[in-house]
Amino acid sequence: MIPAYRVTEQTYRVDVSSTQTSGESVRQQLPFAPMLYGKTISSIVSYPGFNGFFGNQVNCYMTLKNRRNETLMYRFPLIETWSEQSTLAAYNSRRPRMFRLYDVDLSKSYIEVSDFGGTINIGQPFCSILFYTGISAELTAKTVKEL
Amino acid sequence: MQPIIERSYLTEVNLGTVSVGRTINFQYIPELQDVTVYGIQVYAGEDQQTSPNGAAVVPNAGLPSIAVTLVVGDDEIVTRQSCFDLRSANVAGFVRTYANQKINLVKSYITLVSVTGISNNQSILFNFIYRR
Repeated sequence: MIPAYRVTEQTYRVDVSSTQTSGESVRQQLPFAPMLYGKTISSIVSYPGFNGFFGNQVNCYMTLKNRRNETLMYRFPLIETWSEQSTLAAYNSRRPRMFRLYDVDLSKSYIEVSDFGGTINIGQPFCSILFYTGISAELTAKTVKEL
Repeated sequence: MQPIIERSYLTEVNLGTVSVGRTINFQYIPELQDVTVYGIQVYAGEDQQTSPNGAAVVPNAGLPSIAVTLVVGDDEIVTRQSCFDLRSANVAGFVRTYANQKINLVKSYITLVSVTGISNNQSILFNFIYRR
Protein backbone atom coordinates (compact mmCIF):
# COMPACT_ATOMS: atom_id res chain seq x y z
CA MET A 1 0.00 0.00 0.00
CA ILE A 2 1.35 3.38 -1.03
CA PRO A 3 0.10 6.32 1.01
CA ALA A 4 -0.76 9.53 -0.79
CA TYR A 5 -0.62 13.21 0.03
CA ARG A 6 -2.23 16.42 -1.20
CA VAL A 7 -0.91 19.95 -1.47
CA THR A 8 -3.45 22.76 -1.66
CA GLU A 9 -2.65 25.78 -3.79
CA GLN A 10 -6.03 27.52 -4.07
CA THR A 11 -9.62 26.82 -3.18
CA TYR A 12 -12.76 27.96 -4.94
CA ARG A 13 -16.32 27.45 -3.76
CA VAL A 14 -19.23 27.17 -6.18
CA ASP A 15 -22.89 27.43 -5.18
CA VAL A 16 -25.18 25.35 -7.35
CA SER A 17 -28.63 26.90 -7.64
CA SER A 18 -31.79 25.32 -8.92
CA THR A 19 -33.84 26.52 -11.84
CA GLN A 20 -36.69 24.25 -10.81
CA THR A 21 -38.67 24.03 -7.59
CA SER A 22 -38.74 20.24 -7.49
CA GLY A 23 -38.96 17.26 -9.73
CA GLU A 24 -36.74 14.65 -11.20
CA SER A 25 -33.75 14.58 -13.51
CA VAL A 26 -32.68 18.15 -12.89
CA ARG A 27 -29.49 19.09 -14.73
CA GLN A 28 -27.66 22.18 -13.60
CA GLN A 29 -24.66 23.59 -15.45
CA LEU A 30 -21.76 24.74 -13.29
CA PRO A 31 -20.61 28.35 -13.67
CA PHE A 32 -17.39 29.37 -15.37
CA ALA A 33 -14.68 29.68 -12.73
CA PRO A 34 -11.58 31.51 -14.01
CA MET A 35 -9.61 30.49 -10.94
CA LEU A 36 -10.09 26.81 -11.74
CA TYR A 37 -9.79 27.04 -15.53
CA GLY A 38 -7.17 24.58 -16.75
CA LYS A 39 -6.05 23.77 -13.23
CA THR A 40 -5.55 20.39 -11.58
CA ILE A 41 -8.10 19.50 -8.92
CA SER A 42 -6.71 17.64 -5.92
CA SER A 43 -9.70 17.64 -3.61
CA ILE A 44 -13.46 18.26 -3.62
CA VAL A 45 -15.70 18.90 -0.63
CA SER A 46 -19.44 19.50 -0.87
CA TYR A 47 -21.76 21.25 1.59
CA PRO A 48 -25.51 21.71 1.98
CA GLY A 49 -27.27 24.51 0.15
CA PHE A 50 -29.65 27.17 1.34
CA ASN A 51 -31.06 26.62 4.82
CA GLY A 52 -29.53 23.17 4.93
CA PHE A 53 -31.53 22.06 1.95
CA PHE A 54 -30.33 18.80 0.56
CA GLY A 55 -28.84 18.00 3.94
CA ASN A 56 -26.96 15.21 2.27
CA GLN A 57 -25.80 14.68 -1.26
CA VAL A 58 -28.04 11.71 -1.96
CA ASN A 59 -29.22 11.67 -5.57
CA CYS A 60 -26.67 14.29 -6.63
CA TYR A 61 -24.23 13.34 -9.41
CA MET A 62 -21.44 15.51 -10.80
CA THR A 63 -19.99 15.26 -14.30
CA LEU A 64 -16.67 17.06 -14.58
CA LYS A 65 -15.02 17.84 -17.91
CA ASN A 66 -11.69 19.19 -19.04
CA ARG A 67 -10.98 22.03 -21.47
CA ARG A 68 -11.06 19.61 -24.42
CA ASN A 69 -14.57 18.59 -23.39
CA GLU A 70 -13.38 15.13 -22.34
CA THR A 71 -15.23 13.63 -19.41
CA LEU A 72 -13.00 13.27 -16.37
CA MET A 73 -15.70 12.10 -14.01
CA TYR A 74 -19.08 10.91 -15.22
CA ARG A 75 -21.90 11.10 -12.71
CA PHE A 76 -19.60 11.01 -9.71
CA PRO A 77 -21.88 10.71 -6.65
CA LEU A 78 -21.42 13.81 -4.49
CA ILE A 79 -21.94 11.74 -1.36
CA GLU A 80 -18.28 10.78 -1.83
CA THR A 81 -17.22 14.36 -1.25
CA TRP A 82 -19.66 15.20 1.50
CA SER A 83 -18.20 17.39 4.24
CA GLU A 84 -17.81 16.05 7.71
CA GLN A 85 -20.54 18.31 9.07
CA SER A 86 -23.09 15.74 7.93
CA THR A 87 -24.14 12.55 9.61
CA LEU A 88 -23.43 10.99 6.24
CA ALA A 89 -19.74 11.47 6.95
CA ALA A 90 -20.15 7.93 8.22
CA TYR A 91 -20.41 6.92 4.57
CA ASN A 92 -16.70 7.13 3.89
CA SER A 93 -15.60 6.93 7.53
CA ARG A 94 -13.99 10.35 7.18
CA ARG A 95 -11.56 9.13 4.56
CA PRO A 96 -11.46 12.07 2.16
CA ARG A 97 -11.21 11.12 -1.50
CA MET A 98 -8.15 12.28 -3.41
CA PHE A 99 -8.20 13.42 -7.00
CA ARG A 100 -5.82 14.20 -9.83
CA LEU A 101 -8.14 15.81 -12.36
CA TYR A 102 -6.16 17.64 -15.02
CA ASP A 103 -7.10 20.68 -17.06
CA VAL A 104 -10.55 21.23 -15.59
CA ASP A 105 -13.17 23.49 -17.18
CA LEU A 106 -16.07 23.99 -14.81
CA SER A 107 -18.31 25.68 -17.37
CA LYS A 108 -18.48 22.41 -19.36
CA SER A 109 -19.38 20.48 -16.22
CA TYR A 110 -22.75 19.92 -14.61
CA ILE A 111 -24.66 18.48 -11.65
CA GLU A 112 -27.56 16.08 -12.12
CA VAL A 113 -30.15 15.45 -9.43
CA SER A 114 -32.16 12.29 -9.99
CA ASP A 115 -34.79 13.27 -7.42
CA PHE A 116 -34.91 16.38 -5.23
CA GLY A 117 -37.19 14.71 -2.69
CA GLY A 118 -38.46 18.12 -1.58
CA THR A 119 -39.27 21.62 -2.74
CA ILE A 120 -36.72 24.34 -3.28
CA ASN A 121 -37.12 27.93 -4.39
CA ILE A 122 -35.74 28.88 -7.78
CA GLY A 123 -32.34 30.46 -7.44
CA GLN A 124 -31.60 28.98 -4.05
CA PRO A 125 -28.44 26.90 -3.92
CA PHE A 126 -29.12 23.24 -3.22
CA CYS A 127 -25.49 22.41 -2.70
CA SER A 128 -22.15 24.09 -2.51
CA ILE A 129 -18.93 22.58 -3.76
CA LEU A 130 -15.43 23.52 -2.71
CA PHE A 131 -12.68 22.69 -5.21
CA TYR A 132 -9.04 22.54 -4.20
CA THR A 133 -6.35 22.99 -6.82
CA GLY A 134 -2.93 21.48 -6.26
CA ILE A 135 -1.18 18.17 -6.33
CA SER A 136 -2.22 14.72 -5.26
CA ALA A 137 0.54 12.19 -5.48
CA GLU A 138 1.69 8.90 -4.11
CA LEU A 139 4.06 9.28 -1.20
CA THR A 140 7.39 7.74 -2.17
CA ALA A 141 10.91 8.11 -0.81
CA LYS A 142 11.55 10.73 -3.50
CA THR A 143 8.45 12.81 -2.69
CA VAL A 144 9.16 12.62 1.04
CA LYS A 145 12.55 14.21 0.34
CA GLU A 146 10.93 16.90 -1.80
CA LEU A 147 8.31 17.71 0.81
CA MET B 1 -5.82 1.81 0.11
CA GLN B 2 -7.10 5.15 -1.09
CA PRO B 3 -6.63 5.59 -4.82
CA ILE B 4 -6.07 9.00 -6.36
CA ILE B 5 -9.02 9.42 -8.68
CA GLU B 6 -7.94 10.51 -12.17
CA ARG B 7 -11.13 9.58 -14.01
CA SER B 8 -14.33 7.89 -12.99
CA TYR B 9 -17.44 6.60 -14.71
CA LEU B 10 -20.71 5.68 -13.05
CA THR B 11 -22.66 2.93 -14.74
CA GLU B 12 -26.00 1.41 -13.90
CA VAL B 13 -27.14 -2.19 -14.28
CA ASN B 14 -30.89 -2.69 -14.10
CA LEU B 15 -31.94 -6.00 -12.58
CA GLY B 16 -35.13 -6.37 -14.63
CA THR B 17 -37.11 -9.34 -13.38
CA VAL B 18 -35.12 -10.91 -10.57
CA SER B 19 -34.59 -14.66 -10.33
CA VAL B 20 -31.90 -16.79 -8.73
CA GLY B 21 -28.99 -17.50 -11.05
CA ARG B 22 -29.85 -14.79 -13.55
CA THR B 23 -26.87 -13.05 -15.10
CA ILE B 24 -26.90 -9.56 -16.57
CA ASN B 25 -24.06 -8.18 -18.67
CA PHE B 26 -22.72 -4.66 -18.42
CA GLN B 27 -23.54 -2.39 -21.30
CA TYR B 28 -20.90 -1.26 -23.76
CA ILE B 29 -19.39 2.02 -22.60
CA PRO B 30 -16.95 3.60 -25.10
CA GLU B 31 -15.21 5.62 -22.38
CA LEU B 32 -14.25 2.43 -20.54
CA GLN B 33 -12.80 0.60 -23.53
CA ASP B 34 -9.03 -0.08 -23.29
CA VAL B 35 -8.65 1.87 -20.07
CA THR B 36 -6.88 0.81 -16.91
CA VAL B 37 -9.31 0.28 -14.05
CA TYR B 38 -7.82 0.51 -10.58
CA GLY B 39 -10.83 1.02 -8.34
CA ILE B 40 -14.45 -0.13 -8.28
CA GLN B 41 -17.23 1.04 -6.01
CA VAL B 42 -20.85 0.05 -5.60
CA TYR B 43 -23.60 2.27 -4.18
CA ALA B 44 -26.65 1.16 -2.26
CA GLY B 45 -30.06 2.76 -1.90
CA GLU B 46 -28.88 4.25 1.39
CA ASP B 47 -26.25 6.23 -0.56
CA GLN B 48 -28.24 7.10 -3.68
CA GLN B 49 -31.96 6.51 -3.50
CA THR B 50 -32.64 7.07 -7.19
CA SER B 51 -30.35 6.20 -10.08
CA PRO B 52 -29.62 8.82 -12.77
CA ASN B 53 -32.13 6.97 -14.97
CA GLY B 54 -34.81 7.19 -12.30
CA ALA B 55 -34.76 3.60 -10.99
CA ALA B 56 -34.72 2.68 -7.32
CA VAL B 57 -31.26 1.59 -6.19
CA VAL B 58 -30.72 -1.81 -4.55
CA PRO B 59 -30.58 -1.38 -0.75
CA ASN B 60 -27.57 -2.43 1.27
CA ALA B 61 -29.45 -5.52 2.51
CA GLY B 62 -29.75 -6.67 -1.11
CA LEU B 63 -26.09 -6.28 -2.08
CA PRO B 64 -25.03 -9.74 -0.79
CA SER B 65 -27.52 -11.17 -3.31
CA ILE B 66 -25.55 -9.74 -6.21
CA ALA B 67 -22.12 -10.94 -7.31
CA VAL B 68 -19.96 -9.41 -10.00
CA THR B 69 -17.67 -11.20 -12.45
CA LEU B 70 -15.01 -9.11 -14.20
CA VAL B 71 -13.35 -10.23 -17.41
CA VAL B 72 -9.97 -9.20 -18.83
CA GLY B 73 -9.67 -10.32 -22.43
CA ASP B 74 -11.55 -13.61 -22.18
CA ASP B 75 -10.38 -14.48 -18.68
CA GLU B 76 -12.51 -14.07 -15.62
CA ILE B 77 -10.13 -12.38 -13.20
CA VAL B 78 -12.73 -11.68 -10.54
CA THR B 79 -15.34 -14.38 -10.22
CA ARG B 80 -18.59 -13.75 -8.42
CA GLN B 81 -17.29 -11.20 -5.93
CA SER B 82 -19.98 -10.03 -3.55
CA CYS B 83 -21.12 -6.49 -4.33
CA PHE B 84 -21.57 -5.94 -0.59
CA ASP B 85 -17.78 -5.71 -0.24
CA LEU B 86 -17.51 -3.09 -2.98
CA ARG B 87 -19.62 -0.54 -1.12
CA SER B 88 -17.28 1.83 0.69
CA ALA B 89 -19.55 2.27 3.70
CA ASN B 90 -19.31 -1.49 4.31
CA VAL B 91 -15.52 -1.54 4.30
CA ALA B 92 -14.64 1.38 6.61
CA GLY B 93 -14.81 3.96 3.83
CA PHE B 94 -12.16 2.34 1.67
CA VAL B 95 -12.27 1.95 -2.10
CA ARG B 96 -11.52 -1.55 -3.37
CA THR B 97 -8.52 -1.33 -5.64
CA TYR B 98 -7.47 -3.63 -8.47
CA ALA B 99 -4.11 -4.15 -10.11
CA ASN B 100 -4.55 -1.90 -13.16
CA GLN B 101 -6.80 -4.19 -15.15
CA LYS B 102 -8.06 -3.59 -18.68
CA ILE B 103 -11.54 -4.86 -18.01
CA ASN B 104 -13.60 -6.15 -20.91
CA LEU B 105 -16.86 -4.68 -19.73
CA VAL B 106 -19.21 -6.21 -22.28
CA LYS B 107 -18.11 -9.69 -21.20
CA SER B 108 -18.33 -8.81 -17.52
CA TYR B 109 -21.60 -9.46 -15.74
CA ILE B 110 -23.47 -9.61 -12.47
CA THR B 111 -25.11 -12.75 -11.09
CA LEU B 112 -28.14 -12.79 -8.84
CA VAL B 113 -27.06 -15.43 -6.33
CA SER B 114 -30.31 -14.99 -4.41
CA VAL B 115 -33.29 -12.65 -4.48
CA THR B 116 -33.16 -11.66 -0.82
CA GLY B 117 -33.44 -7.92 -0.42
CA ILE B 118 -33.76 -7.14 -4.13
CA SER B 119 -36.82 -6.36 -6.23
CA ASN B 120 -37.76 -6.19 -9.89
CA ASN B 121 -36.42 -3.24 -11.88
CA GLN B 122 -34.08 -1.99 -9.18
CA SER B 123 -30.68 -0.83 -10.35
CA ILE B 124 -27.20 -1.33 -8.98
CA LEU B 125 -24.67 1.46 -9.46
CA PHE B 126 -21.00 0.78 -10.20
CA ASN B 127 -18.37 3.50 -10.20
CA PHE B 128 -15.22 2.60 -12.17
CA ILE B 129 -12.08 4.54 -11.28
CA TYR B 130 -9.67 4.44 -14.19
CA ARG B 131 -6.88 6.10 -16.13
CA ARG B 132 -6.09 6.21 -19.84
